[in-house]
Amino acid sequence: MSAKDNKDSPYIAFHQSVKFTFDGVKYKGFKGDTIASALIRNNIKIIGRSFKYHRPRGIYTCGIEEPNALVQILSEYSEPNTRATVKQIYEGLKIESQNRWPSLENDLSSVNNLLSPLFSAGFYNKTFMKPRGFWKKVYEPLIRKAAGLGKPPKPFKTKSTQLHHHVDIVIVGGGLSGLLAAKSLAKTKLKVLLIEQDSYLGGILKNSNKISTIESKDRASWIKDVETEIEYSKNIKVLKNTLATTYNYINYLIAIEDLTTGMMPLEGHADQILHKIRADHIILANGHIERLISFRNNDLPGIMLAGSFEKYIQRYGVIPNISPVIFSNNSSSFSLIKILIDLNCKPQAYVDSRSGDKIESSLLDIIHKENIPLFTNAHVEGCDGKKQVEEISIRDSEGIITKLKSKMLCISGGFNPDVHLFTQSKGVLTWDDKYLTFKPSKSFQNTIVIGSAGGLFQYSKLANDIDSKLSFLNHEPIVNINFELNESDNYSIEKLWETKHEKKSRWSKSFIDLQNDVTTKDLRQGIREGFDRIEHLKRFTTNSMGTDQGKISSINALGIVSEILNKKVSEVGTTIYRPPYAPLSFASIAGRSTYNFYDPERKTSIHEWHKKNGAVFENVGQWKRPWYFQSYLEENLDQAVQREALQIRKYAGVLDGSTLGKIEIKGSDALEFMNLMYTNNFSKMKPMSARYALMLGEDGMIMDDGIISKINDNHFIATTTTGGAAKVLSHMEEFSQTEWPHLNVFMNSITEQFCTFNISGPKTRLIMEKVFKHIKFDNESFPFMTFNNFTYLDSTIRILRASFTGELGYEIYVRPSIALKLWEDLFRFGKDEGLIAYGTETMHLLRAEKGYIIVGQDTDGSVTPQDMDLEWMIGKSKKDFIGKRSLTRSDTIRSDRKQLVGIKPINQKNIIEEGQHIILSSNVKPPVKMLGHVTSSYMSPNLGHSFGMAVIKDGKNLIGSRAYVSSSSRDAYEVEIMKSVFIDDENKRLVS
Amino acid sequence: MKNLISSNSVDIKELNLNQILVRGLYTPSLNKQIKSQFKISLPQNNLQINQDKNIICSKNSFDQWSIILFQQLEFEIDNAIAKINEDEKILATNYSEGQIYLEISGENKISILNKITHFDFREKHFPLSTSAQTLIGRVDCNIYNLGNRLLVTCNRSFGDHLKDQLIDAIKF
Repeated sequence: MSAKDNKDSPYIAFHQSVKFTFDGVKYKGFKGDTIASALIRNNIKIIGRSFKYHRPRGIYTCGIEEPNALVQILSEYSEPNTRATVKQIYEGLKIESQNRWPSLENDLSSVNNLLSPLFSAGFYNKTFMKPRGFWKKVYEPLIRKAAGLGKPPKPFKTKSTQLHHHVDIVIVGGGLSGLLAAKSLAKTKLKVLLIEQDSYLGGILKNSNKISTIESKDRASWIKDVETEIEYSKNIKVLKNTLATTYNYINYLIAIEDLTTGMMPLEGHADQILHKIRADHIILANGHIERLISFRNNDLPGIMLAGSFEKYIQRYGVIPNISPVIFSNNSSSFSLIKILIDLNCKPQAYVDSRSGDKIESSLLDIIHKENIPLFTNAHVEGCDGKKQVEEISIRDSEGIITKLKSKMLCISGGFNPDVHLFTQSKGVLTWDDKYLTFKPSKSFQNTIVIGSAGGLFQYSKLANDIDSKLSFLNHEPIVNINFELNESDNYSIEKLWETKHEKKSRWSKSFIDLQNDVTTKDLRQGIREGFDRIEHLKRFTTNSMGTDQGKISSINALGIVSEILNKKVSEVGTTIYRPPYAPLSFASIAGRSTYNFYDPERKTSIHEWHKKNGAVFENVGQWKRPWYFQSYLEENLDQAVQREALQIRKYAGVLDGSTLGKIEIKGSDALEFMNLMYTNNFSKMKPMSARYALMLGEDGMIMDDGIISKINDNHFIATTTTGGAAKVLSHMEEFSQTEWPHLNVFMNSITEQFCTFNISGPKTRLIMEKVFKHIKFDNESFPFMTFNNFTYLDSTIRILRASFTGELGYEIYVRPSIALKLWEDLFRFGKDEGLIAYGTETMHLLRAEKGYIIVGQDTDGSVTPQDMDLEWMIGKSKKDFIGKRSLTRSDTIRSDRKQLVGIKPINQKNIIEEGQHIILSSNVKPPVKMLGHVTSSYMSPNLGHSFGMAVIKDGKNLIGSRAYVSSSSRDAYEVEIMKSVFIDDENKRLVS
Repeated sequence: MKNLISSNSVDIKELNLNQILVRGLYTPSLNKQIKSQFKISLPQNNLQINQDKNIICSKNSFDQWSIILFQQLEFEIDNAIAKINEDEKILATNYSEGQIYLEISGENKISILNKITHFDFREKHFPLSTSAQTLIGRVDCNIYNLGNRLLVTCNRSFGDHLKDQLIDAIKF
């Protein structure tokens, strides 16, 4: 029997056909169809192959709970594992089946099914232990190749976006309960968000025939009226095509909205929104999920949950089969039988595990009236068929098997409240003996569960349930709601987790977890092997571990385990339903935070000049700093740095040092504060002079360095390293507020208020005199380490005479609005003097030639000022400063600590590598005694050879001796240990 | 002033404003000094704004105020700062050029901002004439609630990133 359209469904546009391809074959569906409903309409039964055994699999459900029908969407960057039961088709959609080769019909890996007796639970753990060496090279690559269902998508730039919400109430689920709750809140002042995963509101009203009328209206009219009422309310926002996936602490909900439901994603438009929602209260009205029954070959294509079968008829306008066999252990099938009969179809048979006296009279009446073969107190023993259901075996109470030829079996094993979100919120569940399921018991957060999500399966009690739970919100009570039902309002169920089956062959299986190919036999084996705790058993068998998290089977597994262990299900407990409820793409999680938005970028005010003038940038924290400037397109880092370094020592260069941290410190106790924060003594320092200063941690280790400019005893300006700016400011704030609150001192960051240009080189004075004609730069007027304020373009600038290259140099502090003009002026007047712009790499080279350290490169948080040969910076007469006590600890005064030295290769052709070990001999066979390591190394065009800085144990005493440097690519080579200053040891250039 | 974008019922303008950051313990004398310079009182409640058409004065923390001026000239600002700094117990710092100033208005301003910030703009959490410090597009920002418009400031170095994020949020 084939599928048939139900053109009464208002949700499918039967006038609008949509063409798509599945495994390269063209098919036609209608606007509004999911992939699954469209394939059913085209009588396609096999959609994919199972995970482990590669058994053919069809469409089992009609929603997010689908374990089988996962497909690859070739049209959308080859997105894998897309649920065919959710994804809507659009014109030109290309779909491919997964986990098969070479084709879905003939999958070579289906040999796994024949070998299945080998692949029992724990197969991987037991099989791949020996030989030990095989794991990395043989087993793991093979397993990795075989793992997974779909193929990874092609690289693409995410078009997902994100949206934050802050609301009073979120209602999850726009079904009957959700709509009633929303309606009752429509006249309140509460800000409400209603989330519905489908394109239409209505839930069970839209998906089934169970309710005939509500408030004396037909279902569609009632939904429309309520939706209109909600639309007119100003306080309720409805998000359709939106699935709540994660319920975090505190009432923080994640939901994903599909913006392209039923349409091709458009370039330049977002295709999904990840909603991040904070709510005061969350109302879970997300309904229930039907569960399966385990029997022999219960995975064959053609087997479908009964509720899903009805949903295809009502919601998607397709009758999957006009004469299915129905197998149930509960009272829910009446509406399915009725709608089939109303549509001139008729079930081939009805099988109920309950005895006749327990079956509802209304159900029996319709079955008898329509002459539907009835099997009571009977089970489906199993199904047979090559690639789909062909024959169904029914065992009656006396054990007699009746075989029916049929291609469709609808099963209903009962219903579970959809508790995934509730348990994610850390709510507590309780076992319901009447409905044989776990249901929400105690909320951990501000969570309200209503309707069937809360375990209420009686429509007549729904209004009272909602009213009582929402009364604290001062909602409008739901009164006079009446239902006309197509099924009994007294839902009943009989326990049936698995039917007893005949052993037909070794390859017949009774599945409990369809997605992970876990059988009921695996559960038994696991328990036999000692995994009798449900969490252990889950991991041993992989039951409920798939992306569907066992939505239609986990309770059955608990039921089977409870029977094996002879315990109550409530004693067995549940496993944890982990977020997300359904898979989220990484693209949706990343949102727009990719490529240029991956991390905020900081740019200096003259960034564009650098770009236009050949700068190649490096990331320093979030800053973009010119690394080097290309003088021609092909010039590489080494070439540029060699050129820049030579030019600066001979002429002049200017560096954009705007990224350096700058802090203004002021207060009547500023001097005392600075003396405590830094090792230096600023008491005798003259106003308008500057000093290189060290900041230590309480452990006495170097934390940061910079230049302190003293305006007067109450007012200082400190510079910090680029990376240390925020840290130093908060360090100062912390000590000012917590340790020395008695000091009157305040500090503000002025890093961004001023650009800093560091100009240096022998021609610098000449250039400065041309740019600032009114300022005298001779040694007497402007000595080394002094500063002053001047006027430039009617604005105040500050010039400090200091240098980090070892050459004559000045630092100019200028406001961003005139920074570019000044920078260009420097070049206008400096061009003839050989001025160039240089980057951070050349700056590093030049400072190393002069023996200046970089905190964070030559220090690593474990070196003291003494280790760095900076003892002279410690104000010994000071009473105290941060880290002082630590500098006299026995460990910090050891003479054999690692100390800073310079090194140069004996064979000057050798290039020293940064980070390499300093060792005693060229014999590098382990164990090697290591003296220290290279902290900085460069090829110096000014020295004509490579050189480095290193921290070496007892380094000061080793100056003049030789050691070896290890190498990643060749033998260790000899170096001379020397003082770390390579150029201008006497500071003649600096003070020239 | 520069119109950055007007689209999707959101208007963003980049303003040229001046800003002074004042640090000090609140005393009548401090308030008097500020009042004499800018004709506005220092707010005493955290995150509160005192404002008129030319000036916004907000209290950022127990000892920090930010004064944003719409019309003052650079030399006037420098003079005012120098005057305030004559008191050795107060630190006034010119922040004018260290920040960018974005005025965001329009019906959709909140929904657009909520694409890139988790901040709760509801009246009960962010009333009129208050300010807040939060992340927008993962950039540290100050937001000032001026009624039908918001003033957003951030460090200049992050300016391009923030503007690009806002434009992307409106367009995408």
